[in-house]
Amino acid sequence: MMAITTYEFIYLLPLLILGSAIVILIFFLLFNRISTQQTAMLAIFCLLLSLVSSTCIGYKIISGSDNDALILTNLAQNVDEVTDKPTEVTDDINDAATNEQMLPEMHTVELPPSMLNDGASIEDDIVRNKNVILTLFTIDGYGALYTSLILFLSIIVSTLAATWFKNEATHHDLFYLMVLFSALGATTLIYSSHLISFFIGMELLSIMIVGLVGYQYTQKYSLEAAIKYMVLSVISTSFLLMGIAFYYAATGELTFSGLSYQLSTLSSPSILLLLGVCLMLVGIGFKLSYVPFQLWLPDVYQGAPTCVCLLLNTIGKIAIFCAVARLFLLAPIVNNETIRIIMTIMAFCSIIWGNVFSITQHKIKRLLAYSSIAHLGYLLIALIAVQYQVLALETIGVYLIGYMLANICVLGVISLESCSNAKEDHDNDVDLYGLFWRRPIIALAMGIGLLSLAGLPLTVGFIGRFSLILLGVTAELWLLVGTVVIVSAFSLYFYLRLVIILFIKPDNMIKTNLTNTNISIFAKFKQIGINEVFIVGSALFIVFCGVYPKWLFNLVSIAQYLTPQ
Amino acid sequence: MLVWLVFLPLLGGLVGWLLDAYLQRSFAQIKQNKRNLDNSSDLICKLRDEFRLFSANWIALAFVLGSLVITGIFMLKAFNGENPELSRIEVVDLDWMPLLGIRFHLVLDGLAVLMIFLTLIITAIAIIYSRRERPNSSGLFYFCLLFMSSAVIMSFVTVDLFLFLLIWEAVSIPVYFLIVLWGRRDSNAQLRFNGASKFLIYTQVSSLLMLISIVSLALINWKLTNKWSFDSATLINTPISSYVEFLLMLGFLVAFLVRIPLLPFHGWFIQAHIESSTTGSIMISGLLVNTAIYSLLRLVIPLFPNASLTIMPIMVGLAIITLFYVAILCFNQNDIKRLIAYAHIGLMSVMTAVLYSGSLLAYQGIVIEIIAISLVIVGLFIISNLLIERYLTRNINHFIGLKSHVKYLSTLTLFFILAILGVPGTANFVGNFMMFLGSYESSAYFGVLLIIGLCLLSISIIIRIQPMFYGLVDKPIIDKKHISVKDLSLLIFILIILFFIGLYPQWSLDLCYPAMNKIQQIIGSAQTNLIKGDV
Repeated sequence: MMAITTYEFIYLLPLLILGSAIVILIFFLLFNRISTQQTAMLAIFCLLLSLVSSTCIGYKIISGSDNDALILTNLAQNVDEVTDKPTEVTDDINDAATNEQMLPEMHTVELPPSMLNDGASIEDDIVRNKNVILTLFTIDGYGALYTSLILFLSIIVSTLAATWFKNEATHHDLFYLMVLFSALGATTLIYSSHLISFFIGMELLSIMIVGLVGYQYTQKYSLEAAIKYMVLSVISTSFLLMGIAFYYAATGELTFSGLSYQLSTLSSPSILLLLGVCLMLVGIGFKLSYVPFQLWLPDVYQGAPTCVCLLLNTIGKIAIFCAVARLFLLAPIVNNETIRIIMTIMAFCSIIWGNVFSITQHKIKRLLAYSSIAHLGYLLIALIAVQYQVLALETIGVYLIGYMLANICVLGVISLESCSNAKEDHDNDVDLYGLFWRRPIIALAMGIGLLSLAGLPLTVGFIGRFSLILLGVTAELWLLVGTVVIVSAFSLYFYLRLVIILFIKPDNMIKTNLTNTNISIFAKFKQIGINEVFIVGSALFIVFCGVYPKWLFNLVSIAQYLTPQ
Repeated sequence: MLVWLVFLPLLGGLVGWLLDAYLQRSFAQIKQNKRNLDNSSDLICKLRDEFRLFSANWIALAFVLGSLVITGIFMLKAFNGENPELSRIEVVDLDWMPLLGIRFHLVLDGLAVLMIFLTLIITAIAIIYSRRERPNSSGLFYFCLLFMSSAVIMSFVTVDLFLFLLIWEAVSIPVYFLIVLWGRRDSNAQLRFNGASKFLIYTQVSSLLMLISIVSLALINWKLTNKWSFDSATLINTPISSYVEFLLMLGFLVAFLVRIPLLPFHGWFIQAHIESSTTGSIMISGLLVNTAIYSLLRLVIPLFPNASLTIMPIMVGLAIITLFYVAILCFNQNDIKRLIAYAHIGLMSVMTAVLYSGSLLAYQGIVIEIIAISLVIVGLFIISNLLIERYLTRNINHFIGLKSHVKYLSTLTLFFILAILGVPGTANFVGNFMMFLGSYESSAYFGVLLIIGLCLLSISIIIRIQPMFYGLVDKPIIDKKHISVKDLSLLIFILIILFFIGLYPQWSLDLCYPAMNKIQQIIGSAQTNLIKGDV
């Protein structure tokens, strides 16, 4: 391994930009009192900058030849010291975490610096030291691709929030700050190749989500959702920490690559290691809402603002899933028969639960919560089959991108239909009756998103479903493949009900519609904002990738992850 | 040119939709201006309404006729081809998803041209007919219609299995919308939704099973050659053990049986017909069902000849049971649309049974029969809607004294009923004759059973339909609604085609002979349990 140079620092640019953006924003908020509008602009600008930098890095890595990717190494202290160090760090973080969780309403000044210190300390470590012990971050095409997606999503969440808050006069600077923080957490998570950075990223993300879920506490279910999420998140965090500790006790390693080495040399895994993996699965299962740990999800979605729902549903899940996938790719945990069976059962139950319980839902956010349980169940199939490395990464990539685009379409439209000073967001299916006759293009986009979630052909959802089944058959997971086929009947039923609701002409509208038929597609050019552009763009992208998926496959397959030497 | 043929209807749908949206807006503005000026020039108003309602219709019709012209050119090419053994007329082969070796591979041969011709004619009939239904938001309606016909055409010519699956599932989306949004007027939205989603769920689940089969087949090929390919021309040569072949074939078979539809899976068919409008019924019966029997002939038998031979008794048995079941049910139907739907199921099951007989004569008979049955059923649905409009009910028992009620309609009804039974002179007769001759050659018992079943079906239909011509009307009819010239000419057009094929079927037999010959050779050389346990 090599010592870090300033040149290689450039690979961490997205993280650095986000970090400095947070510092600048806090500075402005403390001393200059800038308006909400300006805060939003600044946040979006920084996210955009970060997005551009991560895209450039990705391009550079992909187009570069042999030295295409590098593992940024962090030289902390001597080997002996390091054995103690991780626990200290985790303690620090835990303290920080508990501190913040006591203050769910978020005082601006107190929270960010403490988190910032963690981030800063890592970066300080990188600069300061000269010996190689910890490998905190891996920068590769895989990371760059998903970081770009995350940052893109953060921009959309910010713009949606700006529209959502438009009727309020009070300041909402904190919201954007928290979005920035969660973007930083998600980025850290995706880049991480060390259990500590993995943990820090995950906490940074989920603590921010507590704040965001309870942000508009005047709304009906908001506080309930925030408290539920907070309590469960803390519990799952402790499980995760415990798992990491067991892991460390069993192998003496915390880096992903070290783990991979240790596990591959182990003849039969010890009980301690298995226990550690199981505890980690509990923690991850909570965050990704796999079946025994999924109960919080619908309630939290119901209480959260819709744009936060989008953040939870996409950023929260994609980032954690990518990090877990990297862990599983590097450390062959799934090869163990017990873990495999546990994960198969989790996937099976998630798929069944998510699809069956969606049928009776009338609130779209609750429905999407259940459907996200099911979709992550589908993704877990890819994770189980990850050892057949022929197609696993491509499947994960295509499926995640399809899921993300569809969620932007659906939740974006609901967010546009809602407003922050209302008692609840307009996510009942009654609110959406005949949306097509009011706002045709937006309704079409939402319909396409729903069809893509249902996995109908000519959308990218079908391509994802196809590659998933291809992978499942390759890995001979017949039970799970059979489940996917059978539950698709349920999922079609409830997604299509929503699609039809969008298009059915409500009776009272027929009379009024006769008088003003000129509210048609072309008359509404003036009302098109940035959100509409995003939503329609992602709908078009869904259809395009569904019809011509070659570029999508290319993009996903060149974004390879980095294997340690 | 093949690509143009495939995408022309879709293009027409898009153009029609956009133009319709544009016109709606501009007319609405004119209307408002008119209201402000407060002058009422009725003629312009009427003309404008007419124009607005039917602009999408005219465009759709024009594009379908354009595709018909292209098909005609292909047909001429097929007749004048120097090399009749090489049955391909045109091939398109483009890269699509190179990572998995999926290609945009279309092959057009004589059989496909014939089926495309049929599809386009039925689409044109449906478009002309749909004008009387005056669908609201007509742009979207015709987009669905043309999207469906484009997809059906593509499913006839595609060779790549992945593309085939994509199209196979994509066909069902416009049908779904046709049923839900423009379905039967008098039922409420929930009922229509139930019918449509039943259809879609049946189709999607069964086609996912087919997807598993396709993927497994490609995977076996990949393991042997280390190269991904979904091309059926490549996969046909994959050596597989008879057990695996049987399992893989079951996946395909379920998908096709659901759409044909045979006995355990026929629920969606009836409900979809009841809940859809007449145009929807025409599209389902005339287009959708044909893809299933065609793919059974085109994919299942060549890909899995040995397994097809193994499952032959079961399939023929199932088809015969379906035929008898349907014939018995027909005795007791009061709803005219339901009656026609059941009759269609019965006739489709006859074709399925004959398909497994494996004789060349029967195969050629099937092609004639597909054309004949599609046209007859389309005609019957049009007639049924005319009857429903006259009597304002769908109950057959209320259709009394048809002859004194409407001119010409009773004659046409009689003709179509006789055509469905296969009276000499119609195409159905030729089809039935060739089919039964072929199947009798290969297995006499099955042939006899099929003929008995068909007779039963004929008797039941006659018993249900015959009373409607007689009977006294107790009070004189005040508003005699005559059959319009347009409907009359539409029905007579169908009638002429049926007679033409019935009297001179040789051209269509010539057209499809090479393809049929190839399929027959494949199944002729198949043996049960030829390969035992390797791979």
